[in-house]
Amino acid sequence: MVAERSSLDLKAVAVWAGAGLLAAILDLDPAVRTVLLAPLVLFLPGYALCAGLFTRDAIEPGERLVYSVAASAALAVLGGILVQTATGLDRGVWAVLLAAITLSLTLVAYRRRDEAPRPERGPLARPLHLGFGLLALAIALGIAAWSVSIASSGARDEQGRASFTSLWILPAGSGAVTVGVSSHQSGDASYRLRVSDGVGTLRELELTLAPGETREQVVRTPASAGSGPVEAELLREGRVYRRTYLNREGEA
Amino acid sequence: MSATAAVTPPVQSERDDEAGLGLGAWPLLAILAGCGLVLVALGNNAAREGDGSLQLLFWGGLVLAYGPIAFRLFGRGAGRGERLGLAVTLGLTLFLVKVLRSPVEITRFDEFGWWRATDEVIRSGNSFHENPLNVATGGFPGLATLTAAIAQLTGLSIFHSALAALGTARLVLVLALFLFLERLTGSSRAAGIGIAIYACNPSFLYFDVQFGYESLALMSAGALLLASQRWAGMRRFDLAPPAAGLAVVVLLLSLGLTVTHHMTTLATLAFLALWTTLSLVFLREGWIDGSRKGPLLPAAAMAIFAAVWFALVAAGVTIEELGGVFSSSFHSLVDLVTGSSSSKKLFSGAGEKEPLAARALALVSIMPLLILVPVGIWGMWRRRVSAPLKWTLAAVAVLYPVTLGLRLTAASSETSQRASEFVFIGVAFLAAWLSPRLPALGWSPAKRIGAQAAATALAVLSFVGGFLIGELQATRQPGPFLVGAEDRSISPQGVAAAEFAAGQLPAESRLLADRNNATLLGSYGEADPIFGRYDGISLPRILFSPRFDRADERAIHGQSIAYVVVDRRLSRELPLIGYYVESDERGAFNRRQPVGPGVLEKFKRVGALSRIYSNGAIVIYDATALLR
Repeated sequence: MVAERSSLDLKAVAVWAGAGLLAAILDLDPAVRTVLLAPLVLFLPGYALCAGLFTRDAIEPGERLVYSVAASAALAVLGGILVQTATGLDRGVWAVLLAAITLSLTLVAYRRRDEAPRPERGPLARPLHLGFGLLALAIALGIAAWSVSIASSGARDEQGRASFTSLWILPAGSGAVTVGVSSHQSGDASYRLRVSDGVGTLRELELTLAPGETREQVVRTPASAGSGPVEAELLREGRVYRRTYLNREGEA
Repeated sequence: MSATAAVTPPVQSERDDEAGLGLGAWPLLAILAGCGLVLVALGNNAAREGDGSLQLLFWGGLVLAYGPIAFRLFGRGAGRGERLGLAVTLGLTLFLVKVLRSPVEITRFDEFGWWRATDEVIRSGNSFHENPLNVATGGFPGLATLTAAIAQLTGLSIFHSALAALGTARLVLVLALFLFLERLTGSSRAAGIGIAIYACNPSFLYFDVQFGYESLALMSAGALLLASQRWAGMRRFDLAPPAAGLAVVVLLLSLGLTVTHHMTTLATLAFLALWTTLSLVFLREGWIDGSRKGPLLPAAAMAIFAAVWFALVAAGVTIEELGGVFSSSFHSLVDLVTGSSSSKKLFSGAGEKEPLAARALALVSIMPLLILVPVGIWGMWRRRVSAPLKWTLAAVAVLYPVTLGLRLTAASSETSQRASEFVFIGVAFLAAWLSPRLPALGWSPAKRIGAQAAATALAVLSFVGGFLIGELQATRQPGPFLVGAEDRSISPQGVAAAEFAAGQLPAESRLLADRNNATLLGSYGEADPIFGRYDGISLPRILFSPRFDRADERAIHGQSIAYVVVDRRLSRELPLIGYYVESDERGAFNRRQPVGPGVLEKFKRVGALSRIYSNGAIVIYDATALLR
């Protein structure tokens, strides 16, 4: 009973590592996967290592946290470098590797802790007003999150203010080109797309693109058209807005 | 005295340090720091809209995030738990200032190289790749491998995975330094003061938390320092489990650090070597006894791991990267001394006109720290401090004025910037060691608070000045597009062109572009930007020569450049950092006027080139016809 209680942390680590392994296999919500799997990289392997190396009172909690995180990062990096000599790194490999490291180190720690005498502990002193303090810290965290949200919306607005549309032309095998248009405008935008060669117009069409929309057209270029460039023009309100061309000698 | 002074008793009665778990003013000050962050965010949003009149919000926010916490850390009456909490809060708050600078995407030059390295790990399952944006990523794959692990496991983007890794690294670095300084000085107040001063280092706000290997390596180095300190203070023949455990931790962290970053590895190795040497000298002189383990194991572990890793994997990339930085620093300093070149304006970027007030503030801000170093060392000498670790840190602090001297030339400024996070550990120690010794015990409460306020004011000055020194004026806050201005040159048009390249052009296409578009195309665009020369022809010449001629054609053919990327905005203004593509391009740092629009349009008249992409600002020409 006593031994069980003293190893609650190790059991939690083992369960977390196992849950992480499952989460890597199952198609879970990204937020859940992040909560379960980020500690498998940044904390759990190092914590299990430190639990095996140091008895509870050998180092203080802050120092244990430092070693746990730094050792986790080192184990993940060194483990990854070693494993990739045999197989490529992907989600499954990472999950198995880090869970295996964590579980084996947890097992070692569990055995060593069983052998070690359990230290005498008095009840933890609970400082007055701790609850209010924690509530205030949560509020601080909320304010910090709010500041990130303010900054993120400002950055997205800034990106949105850059209104432009891209036009491209690329060879599409023998006797054809691909013409693409991509809108980065903040609202619907209408254009006329004209593809021509040295002889005449090959294709002309009206386009209305929603924000973020991309359209591509494959246009055949007849062999009789000569060796002049194939030109794509995007017209807005009757004026050339973008112009690209493909010289025939550059055609694949 | 012991070899490390690991268990130095408190320097004076500080009953507040024994207060244990009490949170004290921590929550309230955390709320204030959060409010500071809101002001910074609002100031940044105003700057994004080109409104410079609200800069006060940004600077006020920074002071609010730093000042109140520093005030509390300098004062007496706070418990250990509160100080620890405040130190961590300060570290994380200042990490968030960088997040607020670029909250939705990476923007810094170095970050794109690491984005590419991480993307390569994710796509190939292998950590060792050539990287045209940063040669060192293939020799030091620690950060890319760790970030890839988080991204692959959680499904987060590389950007968000990096934030998770770097935020954690910042937390652990601050915690490790606090515990290290506390153990060294025997005072949690001293440790808190040390953290407040460490945060004044010019790299702390942005550079040390950017998506770059140094940001992660600093955590490993901090943890290794803490473990080495504990190891060195243990009884020499103690082989009990804690000692064996520490040995394992020291070895693991040394190895982890070695595969993460060359400069931090070398700096840590130099530090441990000096500490070991001083320990041996002090031992021989009889100033310390030989009852402690000393730092030999960490020093030897770092030396062996670094030697093996550098010899087998990373020697080439280390020499290529650091060799270039140190050699240009050296030559620029020699030129300065011999009068071949003049000094640059202190604390100002190449193409910037920093206001006189800001430069004066930056200059004044270094004074308290410049005074602190000799005063601290004199105090240690007077008190006959005989702990080798303390003298090692003092020696590191002596480098602070030296690094300031390096800021006299543009080339050596980078070395100075990169050294600051290491040098400030020594400066922070001297502040931590000295502060509790100031004669305050007999003062009245009002006088004490006055002294505390004065110390805080000096710290705020050093903090703000450090930021002014460490960051270009243009990149301190976001804002409208600027030419050749690092973060400020990353625009949606550039990202769109890179996305086009990734989606439509063959992967790893060799292309020529200006510095900022090269970073975008080399990362998001999955292309290989080419720099340097071919057969004596400088590649930027292709972009900036008045006419496209035979030499340009030869260079394109010789370097197999498939695409030429032209950013028409380059003709709007001079590049802020002094050059468009590379620092040794013709006209770098000396241009009087920007490249003409006609020069950038010359490719239209080249029959062998196809203009395959245009978004108004950026045009991509297909040059494959010239490769046949």
